Amino acid sequence: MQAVASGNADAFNAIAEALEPRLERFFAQLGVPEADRDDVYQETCLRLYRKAHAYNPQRPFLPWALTIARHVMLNWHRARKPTVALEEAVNVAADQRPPGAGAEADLWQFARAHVSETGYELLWLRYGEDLDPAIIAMITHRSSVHVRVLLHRARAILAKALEADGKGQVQK
Amino acid sequence: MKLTRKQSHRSTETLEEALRRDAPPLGRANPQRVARVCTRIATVRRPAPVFLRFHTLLRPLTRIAAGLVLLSGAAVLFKTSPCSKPLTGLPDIDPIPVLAHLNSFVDTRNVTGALATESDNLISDLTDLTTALNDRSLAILF
Repeated sequence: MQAVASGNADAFNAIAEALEPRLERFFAQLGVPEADRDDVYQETCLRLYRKAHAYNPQRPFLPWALTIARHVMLNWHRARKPTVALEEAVNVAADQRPPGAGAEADLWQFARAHVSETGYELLWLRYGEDLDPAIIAMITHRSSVHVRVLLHRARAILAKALEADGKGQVQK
Repeated sequence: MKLTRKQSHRSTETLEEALRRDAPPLGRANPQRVARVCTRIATVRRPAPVFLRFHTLLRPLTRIAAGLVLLSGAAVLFKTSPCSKPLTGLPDIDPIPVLAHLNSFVDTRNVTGALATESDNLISDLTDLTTALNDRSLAILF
């Protein structure tokens, strides 16, 4: 990233390649339909490139990249919201299943249906991306305690919904 | 049925494990998409370094200009203010106090008589009040 910041555009190719699967999964999980993921990914990469000088090498790269990706995604959601009809939104939600995800992804789909948007996002960052609450707090601009509380609530809601749905015992 | 704390803790751990396990795995990078991004980035004009960007310089420049305006204003005020000129002589003030003539307007004997009358009136009022209170109190008791 330091090479990119010093003006070497070719150095960014490796970063774009390494980030692509990660961002693809991130966007897929957080509700960006497949048709728009390419645009969101490109916009994220452009921002990363433009903001390369702002990156602090003392800090981990992935949370910084995910913070920018999240901003781009939120902008995309904000720009899209008023133009989506309700029926279409249902179709979009159905289209959100990531490619290659089999029946084992059912729990996440179940979570998406029962947990709030914020709760689902935090659950994904915590267990899908395997990030610490402190890093999630940095990405989502919340305090660490707030993240922990929201995670606890999301887990409780999910557990309750699973219990009510008859899946009380999650398969080991 | 309510779960005990231990059971609840165990179920939370199980849920966490299940969420981790069920997270979809990372796929392979899409080479076309990466190539598209790289092409686009190659055509994008790199933003100027921080020190050359106008908007980053705008704020310090504005501060410096505001400081200069403030200093010049203060200098102009200092030069034109009458306080900055030294006093050439003592101001023309009458040394005799005006209140010195007050005694000639007031008759001391008149004032003393009026105060004595006022004092007598107050004493008689207080006596009347005390008598009335005593009468009322006795009337209540007997």
